[in-house]
Amino acid sequence: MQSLKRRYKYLQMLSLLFVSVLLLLMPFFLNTYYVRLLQLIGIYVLLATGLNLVTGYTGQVSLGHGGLYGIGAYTSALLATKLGLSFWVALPLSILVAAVFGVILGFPSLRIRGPYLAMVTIGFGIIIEKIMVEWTGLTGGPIGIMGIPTPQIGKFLFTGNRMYFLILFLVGIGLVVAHNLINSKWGRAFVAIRENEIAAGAMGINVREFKVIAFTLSAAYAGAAGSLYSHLSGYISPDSFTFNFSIFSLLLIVVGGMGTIVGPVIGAAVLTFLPEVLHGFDKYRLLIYGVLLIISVLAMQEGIVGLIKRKISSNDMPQDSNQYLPEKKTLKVGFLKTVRRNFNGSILELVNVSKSFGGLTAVNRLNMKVVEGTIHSLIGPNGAGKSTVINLISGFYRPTSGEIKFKGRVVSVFETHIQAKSGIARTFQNVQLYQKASVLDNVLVGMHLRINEGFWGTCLKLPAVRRSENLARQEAMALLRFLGLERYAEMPAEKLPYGHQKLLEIARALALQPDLLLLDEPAAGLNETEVVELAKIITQIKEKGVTVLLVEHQMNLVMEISDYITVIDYGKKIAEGPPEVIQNDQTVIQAYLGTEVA
Amino acid sequence: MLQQAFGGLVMGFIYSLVALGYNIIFATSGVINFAQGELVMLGALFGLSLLVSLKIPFVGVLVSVVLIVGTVSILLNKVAVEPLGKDPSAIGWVITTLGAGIIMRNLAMFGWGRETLFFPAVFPDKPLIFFRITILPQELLIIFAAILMVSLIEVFYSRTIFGKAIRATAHDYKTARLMGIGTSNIIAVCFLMSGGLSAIAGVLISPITFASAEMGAIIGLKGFAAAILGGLGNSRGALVGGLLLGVLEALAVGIVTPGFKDAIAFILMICILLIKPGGIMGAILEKKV
Repeated sequence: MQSLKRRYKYLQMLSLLFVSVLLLLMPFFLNTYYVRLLQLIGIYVLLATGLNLVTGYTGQVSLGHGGLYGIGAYTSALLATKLGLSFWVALPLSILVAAVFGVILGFPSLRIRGPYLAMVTIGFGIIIEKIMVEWTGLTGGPIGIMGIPTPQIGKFLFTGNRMYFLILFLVGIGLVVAHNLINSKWGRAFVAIRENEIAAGAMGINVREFKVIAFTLSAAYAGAAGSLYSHLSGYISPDSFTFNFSIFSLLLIVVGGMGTIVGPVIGAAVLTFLPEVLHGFDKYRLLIYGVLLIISVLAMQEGIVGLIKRKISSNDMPQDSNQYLPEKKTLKVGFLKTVRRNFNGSILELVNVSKSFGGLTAVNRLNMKVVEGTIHSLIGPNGAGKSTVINLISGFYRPTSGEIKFKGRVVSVFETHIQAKSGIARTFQNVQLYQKASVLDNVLVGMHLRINEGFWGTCLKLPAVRRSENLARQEAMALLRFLGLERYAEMPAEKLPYGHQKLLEIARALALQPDLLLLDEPAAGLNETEVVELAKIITQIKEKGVTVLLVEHQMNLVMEISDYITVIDYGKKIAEGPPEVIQNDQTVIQAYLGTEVA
Repeated sequence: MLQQAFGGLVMGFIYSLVALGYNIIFATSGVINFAQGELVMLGALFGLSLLVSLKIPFVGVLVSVVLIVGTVSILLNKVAVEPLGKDPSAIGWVITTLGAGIIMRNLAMFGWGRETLFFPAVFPDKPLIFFRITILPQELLIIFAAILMVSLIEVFYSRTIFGKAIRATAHDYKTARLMGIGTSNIIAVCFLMSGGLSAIAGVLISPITFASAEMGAIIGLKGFAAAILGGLGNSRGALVGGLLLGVLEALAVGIVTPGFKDAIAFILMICILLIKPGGIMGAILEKKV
């Protein structure tokens, strides 16, 4: 598998080199018409790469990118024609202005989802378009702006091939930056939001912040593309930035392949050359276009890139050997370096905590203390409110009344990423992984808060960022080794069998280096051997100094590893004490009778 | 002012019908049909041909366009939606339904040309005057028909076993299957209903806006906005959203230039969504852990 991967990488480098040489030589063999097409492709690549960041990677569909592209184009055109600024000033300013609009477009995405968000982005595009048409004084109205100068340095004019090389250079930068960001904590945060917003928040990602960042970045790319278009064509009008163009931008990434770096490149090339190929059928061109749209989605999932990928790597997944036992059971790398602090003995304290949903009280005046360095189990019949307690502690819900103290301080903000930052990690009752991301990336998302990769440093891939990324990868691999998942590292999480997925959730939670680990029914759905292994793993986690709060129905497991047990029923505490006491408690036995045998 | 508001109200009823068309498809298949506007357009153009060239009586025209466009709509489902499978997160359907829309529009251009065509009204164009508002009989017909359609759909959903099957499918597609409901047939029927509704909307509005092969884009978008505004999957929401949008944009014309009309409508829509992210009548989606 290793050699196959290396060969794949080698192939990748080789084709990249080939394409680069080809692109550098091409203009010398083509007439101006085709050079012009190549220039346009370059601009579309920038636009599509930006759209890909927000739609392909972060999963927020935008049907308003025509508007952002237009903002870039108009900003540049106005700065150049009205203020006489040169392209070299107008370009960065266009990027900036478009980015500001990106922030504006990003804000609705915090509250509005799915088809509603799609409509908002459509609305945004149309509003921009109308402003271009109607604000005649500024934008020139339907006629647009003419006489936008060609970029120049001194007397050196960027016409023809020179403009081509300028665009090529800028596209190159754009692609490298996108590539660097995607392969960092930033890109992983985007993918985590796309795959599972709930789990992204629980791993300490500020989902709202990163959504806005994605929109802003995306808009910056659109702004750059618009500015280049403006100076390339010398003339712009609202016709170039309509809703139809927004759809065309989406098409670029869908046809090429969403969520891949080369996808937008291929999409832009194919869709720009397609009309040329269809030249003879001018009358039926749009018709053929429509048919191709449907075919491109139905016949090739993940676009053209997906098609190629499936051809190359149809079967280099490791075979599941049906063996559960972890390969190495001891921790070699010191990744769990929790320093013991003394919070008056209890790391977590619930004081009179209640939570009701409408008329239903799920948790009722619950008092509970979790002593640092112990395994504390929370048990009770189905519907007793156990998961609600976990959700309260991890910040998904705000208590209706009462207070939660963590590390001696009263929790006031109930936001999952804040709780994660303060040192609480969790797993979920129903597996909540980033299904399409690799097993390794899932763990790396868990390390989000601890990976020190600044934005600009990541864009440039500075040595410090490279080092931190390498370290993070080693640590993540060590964690996977600890849970026996090492050989699945490159697999998408969705391909793992259920038991392994549950373990991966634990690995991901441990990656936060938490002080408190909340496990919500980790043994559910595991077979007996797996439960035995799980018991060992949880005990080892405790030995490393992590406090564990365990919600579980498997009484064997609970009684075997717990230091202390709290029993709740109908949201109220009915008993607490060490396992021996709980096992013989009459109230507990009564609560469980008929439902489960303790 | 009142006159404008009334004009907006009439447009609003049309938006409501189109919004209802979006809703019906979205509820069971989880897809926003971006070819919805083209179904309206097909209804208008087929209606025009049947009415003028074949001289079929109006009621006959309505029945025929429902059948014709309904069939087109089912075909649309078979070609552009069903093959995608049921994955609500994938946005492939945006592209496939847009593609299908482009095909319909172009075929319509081959059939009817690119010109805007006059569509005769069923009733004579003699205006009635109520409280200084001029009302065309056609406008009354639109209001009456729209209310009738929305009520029929509501009754169908809540009172018939088939409607219940549709709601079950909308609620949980897998469980509905397990309960013995043929969900793919249910979805096909929904496409039929949605197509039929859109066709009626097309026939009703054309005497006022005229018909053309390119009329679908804007009416489709407005209908979508109305559906979103009211809350997707909610029939009363479609009514409220459509009327609100229609009246708001009509009143906006009094304040700004006509060109800004659409911009105002969309700005208001975004503001409303920011306050109520699930639309006016939409349920608030609780996050599930």
